[in-house]
Amino acid sequence: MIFPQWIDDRLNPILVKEVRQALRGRYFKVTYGLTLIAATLVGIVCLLAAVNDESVGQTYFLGIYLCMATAMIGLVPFQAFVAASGSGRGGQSELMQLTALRPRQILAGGLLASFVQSGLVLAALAPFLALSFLLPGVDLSVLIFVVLYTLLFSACVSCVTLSASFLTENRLLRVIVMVFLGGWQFGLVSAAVPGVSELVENSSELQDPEVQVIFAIFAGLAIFIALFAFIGGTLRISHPEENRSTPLRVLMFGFALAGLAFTFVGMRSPHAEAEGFVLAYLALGFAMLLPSGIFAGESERLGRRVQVTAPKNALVALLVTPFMPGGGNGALFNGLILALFGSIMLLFPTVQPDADDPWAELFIFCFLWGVTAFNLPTALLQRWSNHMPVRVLSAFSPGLFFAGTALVPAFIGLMFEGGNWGQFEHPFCFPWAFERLAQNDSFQKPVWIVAVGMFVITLLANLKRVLRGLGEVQRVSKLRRENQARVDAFEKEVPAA
Amino acid sequence: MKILDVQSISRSFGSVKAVDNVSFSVSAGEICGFIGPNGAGKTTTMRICSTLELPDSGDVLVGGCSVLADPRGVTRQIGFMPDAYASEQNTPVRDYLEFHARAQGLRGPARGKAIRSVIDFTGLKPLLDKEVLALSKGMRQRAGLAVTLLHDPSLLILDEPAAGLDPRARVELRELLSVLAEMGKAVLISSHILTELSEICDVVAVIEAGRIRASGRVTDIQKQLSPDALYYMRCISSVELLQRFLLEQPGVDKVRADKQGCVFSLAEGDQALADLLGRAVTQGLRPLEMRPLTADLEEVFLSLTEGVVQ
Repeated sequence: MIFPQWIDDRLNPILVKEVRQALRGRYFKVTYGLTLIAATLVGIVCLLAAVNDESVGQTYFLGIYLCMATAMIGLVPFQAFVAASGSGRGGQSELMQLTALRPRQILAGGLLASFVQSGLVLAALAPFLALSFLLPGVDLSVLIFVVLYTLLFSACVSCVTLSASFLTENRLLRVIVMVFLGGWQFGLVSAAVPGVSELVENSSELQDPEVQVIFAIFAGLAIFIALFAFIGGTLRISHPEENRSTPLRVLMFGFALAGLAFTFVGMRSPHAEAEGFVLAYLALGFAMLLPSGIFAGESERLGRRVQVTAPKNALVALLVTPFMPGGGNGALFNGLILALFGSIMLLFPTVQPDADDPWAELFIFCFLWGVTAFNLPTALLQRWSNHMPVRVLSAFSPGLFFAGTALVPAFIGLMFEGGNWGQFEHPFCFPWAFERLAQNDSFQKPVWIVAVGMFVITLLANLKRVLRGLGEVQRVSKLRRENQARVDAFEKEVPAA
Repeated sequence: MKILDVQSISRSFGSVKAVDNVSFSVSAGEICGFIGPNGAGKTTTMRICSTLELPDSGDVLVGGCSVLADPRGVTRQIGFMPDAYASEQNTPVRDYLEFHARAQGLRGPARGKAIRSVIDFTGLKPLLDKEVLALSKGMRQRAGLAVTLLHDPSLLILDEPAAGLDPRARVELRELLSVLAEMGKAVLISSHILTELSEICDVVAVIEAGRIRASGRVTDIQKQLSPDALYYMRCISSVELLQRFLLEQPGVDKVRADKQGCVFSLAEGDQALADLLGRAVTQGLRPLEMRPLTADLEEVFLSLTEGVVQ
């Protein structure tokens, strides 16, 4: 009896509550019943339609899979959204702040409850899946793979819908979010069925390493999006003065490291194609830098609840500074990621600077533009970062910077007949400049002057706030050391205390 | 021992200063009535004490833990009941209490014991299988109070707990709070129903326009407002005769007559009162009753506040 009690004590309270509510509620009962009825009817129709085919098992499996995907990727995550929205009403989520539950436990509880419901749906469909295996045409490994992959995607989609439920308490906006999520889930189910059909028909493809890599990439991206949503959701329901930046920074850093490790392993394989991985690098770099636009636009002041979490050790405080909240620290974080990115890139033999290889130059060029786009506009907007609209603008500023640097010179060119500038053929236009470098033509000098010039201006514009960010973390760290020294002295003086 | 120590807190929302340099304290076993007109800053102060809001300046200590530096330490020690307690659909009272007990980190036999204890205390036993949403307002407040008490907090913060309750439910709530205070818990309670508060509160803090107008025992505040003691006197003779007699007496002030007797203030102590009574007897007024008047919270409140709305 001791072991079940031990488990019972450690069960997530939200999980227990949500599962009980779901099992008692109408939504789950109706969903569950409809899934079973639909699976039975669709199964019968598929059997009748393909009864004489050799691949009757495949047709039957696809019919059942359609029901399974609709329930597990569509209905169950949607239920998670509805349940979490209901719990958030009337200040319930605020009251949760007063309990021993942490925001991540609240979200994890909802996610686990959703996972349990997916498991129940899967259990209900298990006889149908077993029958599809007994019919000719479906490989067992494919069947298990598809079920596990769907379960993973169901959890990831639930994670996104759960986090989306905390986005707003406004009823109209909630309906808009609901419609958007419904459309997205419908799209996912619509895309999943043809993909599974392709896999079932060519089951040997699952043995192909390239296909395995593609599935691994998809799974990795889904997990990353789910983690991103999870952290975003927990930050959303945590207290405004709590540290809402560090978890996201750690996630982005982890994602960067995982991406680079993946690329590193890929480059070592005999089938590696340098160009393919270079593009992967670029995609990874920009995907990673996108949220760091938010970091660089954060308010400089460390909140009072963040201050008490700063490391007391000066060296540790210095090392973790890029992960602490604040615009200057955000710029530092961007620099850290780009430096890591650039240095690992240069370690690979296939992308080392080479006279015949323009990729190295293109990397450096992208690096300079990346630093500029993510840190120059935010540095200029930093002064007003306490205002929410400015912070929103700051988050979108890298994209706006790319558009602005292409559009404004083009407009000037049109007004003053500046050669081909009006046709976006100027060194401030990133795509045009990138193309010039890729083609190794004679316009390279102005392209480099602009890129390096903007980079230098960016460094100068950010210098003050980066120093301020470093100083702020060191100041708080010193304050904590002093407080600790006071406490130690007091305890020495009054041991009983 | 101070359980709640509010130290010069201020909080602004845009240009509105909701709480302005507010300080007061509540000790163990004390019930503190937090009174003020609508928009005075009561709820904001209570939310700051509960860690749901942060002060722009100042600090609040609950059992020595700061809401700024150690909010988790504070939440472990408080039970906060907002004016409208949130509740869940499809949830019977039993599950509701169990969920909150789990959420408060109660494990094993301690969880069951805590749930049983609050059920007994609040008298929710007959309603355990009823859905929370189906309960009456009074019973839902009881369920809310039960949830608030689950983790045995040393400080209870109750925001308008009596609002919308019928007279019987109010009396029952008042009795529950008195028992809690006897158990050594500090209670900070806000209410508009001042007669309710005056019967159970040991101390009050009067807030208006974000500022504390007065705090302490009601009698002490009354003394601050009017240093002279108030008395009531009733005689067999006519009220007019009594009023004339009082107006003639040295040290007597603010004489006010009603249908049966007079209220008056007397600056000096017991000796002057005995002399006054003796004179009344010798002058043939035939006194029936003479008693000191206890401070009236409503009067204190009206004297202190001006009805300023932010």
